Amino acid sequence: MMRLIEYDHLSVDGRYDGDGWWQAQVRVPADQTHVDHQLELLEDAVGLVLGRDTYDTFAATWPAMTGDLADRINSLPKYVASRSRNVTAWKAQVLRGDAVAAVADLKKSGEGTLVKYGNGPFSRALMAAGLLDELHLSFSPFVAGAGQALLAGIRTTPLSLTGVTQIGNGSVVLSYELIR
Amino acid sequence: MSSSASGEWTRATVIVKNQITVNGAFTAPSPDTWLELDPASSAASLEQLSLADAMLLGRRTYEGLASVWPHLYDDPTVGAYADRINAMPKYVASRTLTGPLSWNARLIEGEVAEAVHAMRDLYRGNLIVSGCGELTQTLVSAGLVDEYWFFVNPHLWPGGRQIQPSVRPIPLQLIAATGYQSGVVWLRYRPEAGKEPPTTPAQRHDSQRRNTAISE
Repeated sequence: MMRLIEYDHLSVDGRYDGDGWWQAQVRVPADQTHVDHQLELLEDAVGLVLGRDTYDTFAATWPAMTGDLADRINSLPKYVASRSRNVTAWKAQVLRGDAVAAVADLKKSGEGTLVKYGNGPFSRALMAAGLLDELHLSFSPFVAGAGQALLAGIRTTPLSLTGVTQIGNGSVVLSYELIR
Repeated sequence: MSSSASGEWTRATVIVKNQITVNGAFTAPSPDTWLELDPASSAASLEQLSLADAMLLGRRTYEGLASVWPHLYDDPTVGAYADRINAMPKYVASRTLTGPLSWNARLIEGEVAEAVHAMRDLYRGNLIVSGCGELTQTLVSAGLVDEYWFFVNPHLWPGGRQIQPSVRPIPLQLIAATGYQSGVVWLRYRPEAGKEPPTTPAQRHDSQRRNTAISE
C-alpha cells in the first residue's frame, strides 16, 4: 500500500494563499537546505498527486528548470485530478472518474510514497476519505494577515507530530501523521 | 525605569503569545479544550509563566480566562500554573467594561499604545499579550511587540475564528522551534525590520516557480 503525503507552505497564521501571503512568501527564498529537504521527501516517491491548478503551474515551470530537484520532479509520473480535459504533458495522466476513488486504487496498486503539493477541496476530499497518511507543513517566517486557511471546513482531526525540522531561512517543517 | 547593577537600561519584553491549531484556529478560553499535557511542556509553561511580570488582555480573553482559572487552584495537574496566573497582575483593554475588575485585573487607562509603552519601563520581565484581537493588532501597528510565540497544537479544526494578529503581513525572524512529547510545537519569533515585500507580477511569478506548494 502506498503512503500519501501532502506538503504545503504555510504562514504562521495558517494561510497558504492570498495576496498578502504571496508578498511575504517571495521574501523566503528556497535555498539549498530547502532543496535537500524536498529531495529527502521525494526519496521513496513513485508519483505526484496534483490538483488541476497546481499541475498547470508546475507543468508550465518545472520542465525548463535544471538541477537535482527539477530532474526528480520532472521524471516522476503525475496523477492529476481534472474533470474538464485530458492531460498527458509532463508525464501526467488524469485520475479517471471519481478522483478520490482513483487515488484509493492507486495506493493499493503498489508500494512507495505519493507526494501531493497544494491544498484545497481535493485535499479535503482525500482527508475525509481517510486516504491522506501524512501532512508536512513548512511554516514560513511571517504572519500573512489574510488569505485562504489550510483545510478550512475539514472536520476536527487529531494529528501525531513526527518531526520538527528547521530548513533554513527561518522556515520550520512540522510533519504529522493523521490519526484515524 | 529600571536598570541593572552595571547601569545598563533594561525594560520589559512584550510577547504576543497564542495557542493555535495547525491550521491557525484560535484558542478557546477553556484550558481543557486545548491542553496537551506532558511533563516537559507543563514544566516549560510554568517556567515561562514565572518569567512573566504581567498579562495584557482584550475583553474577550479576560472574561474567558477569568471565568476558568480561579477554579483550578487545587487541580492536581494545573494547580501550580493556576496559582501563578491567578496572582499575576492583569491589564485589560476595553471600551465597554467598567472597574473594578476581578481576578487581580485592572483596566488600561487612556490610550493603549501609550500605556503599554509606559509599562515596558515599569516592568523588567515579560509582558504577555494573550489573544489575537484588537489589542494585539494595536500593539503590532504601534511597533510595540518584541516577540511572537505560537504554540502549535497537533489538531486540525473546522475553522471558526482564524488567528489574525495583523491585517497586513508581518515578516518574522525565527528564534527557536521546540517540539514537545505531547506534539505541541513552540515557535518563537521576533519581528524582522527593514525589508519591504516586492509586489510586481514578475517577482510573484518567480516565486511560484521556486515554491513547490500553491493552491489547487
